[in-house]
Amino acid sequence: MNKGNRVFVTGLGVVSSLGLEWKAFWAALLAGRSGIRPWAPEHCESFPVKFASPVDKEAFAAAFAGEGLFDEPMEHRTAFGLAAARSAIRDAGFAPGGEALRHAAVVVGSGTPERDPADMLLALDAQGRAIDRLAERRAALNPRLRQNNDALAEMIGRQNGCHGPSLNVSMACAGAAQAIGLGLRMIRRGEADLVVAGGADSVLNMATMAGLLMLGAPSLAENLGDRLSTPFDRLRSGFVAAEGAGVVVLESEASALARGAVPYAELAGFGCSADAYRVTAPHPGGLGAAAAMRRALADGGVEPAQVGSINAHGTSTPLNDAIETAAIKAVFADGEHYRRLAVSANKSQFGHLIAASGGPEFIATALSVRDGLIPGTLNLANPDPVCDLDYVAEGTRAQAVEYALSNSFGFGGFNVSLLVKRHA
Amino acid sequence: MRKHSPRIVVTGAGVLLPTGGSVESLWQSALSGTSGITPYVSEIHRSSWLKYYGRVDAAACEAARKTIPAKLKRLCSESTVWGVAAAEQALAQAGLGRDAEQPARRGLFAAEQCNLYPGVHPFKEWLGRIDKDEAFDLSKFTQEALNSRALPFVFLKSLRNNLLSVASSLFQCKGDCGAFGQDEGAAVAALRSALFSLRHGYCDQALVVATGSSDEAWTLCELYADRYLSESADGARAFRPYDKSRAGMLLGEGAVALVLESEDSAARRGVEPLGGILAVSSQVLSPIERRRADSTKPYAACLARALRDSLADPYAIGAVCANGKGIHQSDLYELRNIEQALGPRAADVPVTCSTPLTGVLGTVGALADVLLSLLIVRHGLVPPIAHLEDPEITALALCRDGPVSHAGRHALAFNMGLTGFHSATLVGGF
Repeated sequence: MNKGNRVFVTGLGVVSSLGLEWKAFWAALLAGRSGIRPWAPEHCESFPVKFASPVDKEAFAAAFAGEGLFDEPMEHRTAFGLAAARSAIRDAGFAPGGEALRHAAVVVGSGTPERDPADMLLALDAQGRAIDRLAERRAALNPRLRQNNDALAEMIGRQNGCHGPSLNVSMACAGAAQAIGLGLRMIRRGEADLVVAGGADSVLNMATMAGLLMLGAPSLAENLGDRLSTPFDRLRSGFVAAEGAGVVVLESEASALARGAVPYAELAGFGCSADAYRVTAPHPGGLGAAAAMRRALADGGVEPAQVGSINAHGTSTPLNDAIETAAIKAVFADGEHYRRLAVSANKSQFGHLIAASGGPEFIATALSVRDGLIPGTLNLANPDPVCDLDYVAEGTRAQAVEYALSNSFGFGGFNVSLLVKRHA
Repeated sequence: MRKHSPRIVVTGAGVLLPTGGSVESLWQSALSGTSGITPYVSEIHRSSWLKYYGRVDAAACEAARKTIPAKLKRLCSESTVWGVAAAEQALAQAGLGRDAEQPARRGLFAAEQCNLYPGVHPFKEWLGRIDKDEAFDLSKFTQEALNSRALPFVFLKSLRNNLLSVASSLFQCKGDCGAFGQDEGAAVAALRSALFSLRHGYCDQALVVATGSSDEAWTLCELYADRYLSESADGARAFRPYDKSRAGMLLGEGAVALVLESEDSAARRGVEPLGGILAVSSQVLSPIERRRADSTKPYAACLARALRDSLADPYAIGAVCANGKGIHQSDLYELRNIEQALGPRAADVPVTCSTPLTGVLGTVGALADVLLSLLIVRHGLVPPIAHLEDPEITALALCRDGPVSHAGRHALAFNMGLTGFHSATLVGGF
């Protein structure tokens, strides 16, 4: 049921612990490197979460110093998103601010605003209720707090001269994937020829991490070091939080052909669903996740048997990995095709970028079908009886794939699946 | 309308706004020019410069809260409660209430601009257990925070998909979905996504909800520091968009919900539509480009796109519902944009604005204006702009003194943000 223009991926931009541009990121993924390292929030060494997957801030600042992206104060997630978007735009062969981008749309997902307790404490008035003094003192406080923090799409549009539609998606861990899917729809329908799509997030601050911790999401284990993220493993104990961004340039077939662009892959389908089950837990049968995958396949007019690999959401949490496995088995039950699927979880290497996670994972999926190389799921040493698919545990595998799915499931019960087709 | 696209109509609407808790109360307030803005009273803040605010009625809030199951209630931010209340009304009007058959293909598209979380006040709540006389110790604070049962709920409320989570569960919306942030742009994004979804056949009905509040210390202080807020002690009447004596904006809060479906679906279900959504178009400009607005004409560009997408007759546009923030430069810029967009019809098409009734609602305002535009076409009347006495630009037919007749099949809702967002939504008959 493919209904309109074909959509190609023609530009990639990544900011992650594994690299600050897609080539380094992809090389690190294929080499099986880990971006996970010891971590603690600023001024709080006693924090229970001991590992994360942070971006190297000094290298990041140096890498994008000449772009003029960070002239105004901004949160980390915004900076990562602006940088990844600029990289993707340049990678696609466009000049920022150029006429070719004039009607481009921007659709990105981002997460919860970053709030530093030390800054917030400064904002509190001793009398408790008066905000007049806060207004007087604001100039002395962290200017990042003053930004409109839910306007990444608008900022990307302004900085790069993209005057088309601007959508800022807020769908937790499914945000970036949802944004990419909405970009597909826009191009199919002729609303835009070019869409800058993806996501950015940074949860590596005490306030957000404390919230995630209280929900039981991150792993507290201290004995696994950079092998802490163990998707589908029997001993998995939670995700490893990460930060960064993944942004792509989506382009209509006509536009890409007209300018001689060489696509990385085709974005062939998008499916999303809501569990409508519980705010704090996914549906135990994975009905919503399965619905999203089925919708993506139907959207692309593809039978389950045509799919060769899945870039799994694979968070390394007890609930997600078992439920995602069950959902995959349900969708690919015919002829037990699930036994022939290569299911890989990139979060084993670069952790969970939360709202941004679908961005780098979609990029990895696109590169995977382009190169015929599937990055492995690291740290899968103890097979879990309920997670019994082929998770590519041996490391990077050479395998030609025509169609692949990239899954992202969001806290609150939102599920997104993107169908990627190899570009002939 | 593109030939292959189904026509999309609105079959249900609901509101919880400073003007009241029903669509009828919004319409009657608009016709009479009665503002719901009241003196600023808050259990959280007090301020010498923040004097008036468009507050949602506390009793209506409490009533809305009671309709939410206890397990969900503790996860809801205030604005989510408002959104649920508005959605409940809209679904009931569309014949899709909680007792109706729950289709698996009901979409949900939410726009949330709740600045309350993570805000200064929740942090203060976390700090409540710490002895104020002690020197502050971040490690101790962390432990206190981690020991606080409130913390995970504060985090959940901080997610910008709080409404989507709660409403999808409450109303069993399992179809296509989306949640959006970004001030005025969020509601437009939600509406646009719902239209995509319905036109592509990804869902059978789409619930679009916008909710939000600006009543948070940082947000208020930033708007104050930028000199956007009116400090007048002259009550709600001091908020005068497009008037020569305008002196800044007053803020408001609330929620608006619409149920959308195809015209065929509404006919099959025997539901009378409130009106149609013909097209949504938006554009973002940088501050530099905004200063060159005479050449860029963002409203004109948005309208041209909307007309092209809908194949609508520009001469059938009988009214404009504009944004009107009451800020000197912003209003002047907007009026010139409207003038450019309407071209030779600028003096003939009546222009109205709802912000003096509710306060500036941010993302909620964009959907409220779409609803008001639908009501204008339905009733054949264009409400006056409350408090407008001496218009800044006389070349436009800015409504004042009372409602005027609406002569066209369509109405147009223009919206703009303070940071460069512009949109045009075309509604009415086909």
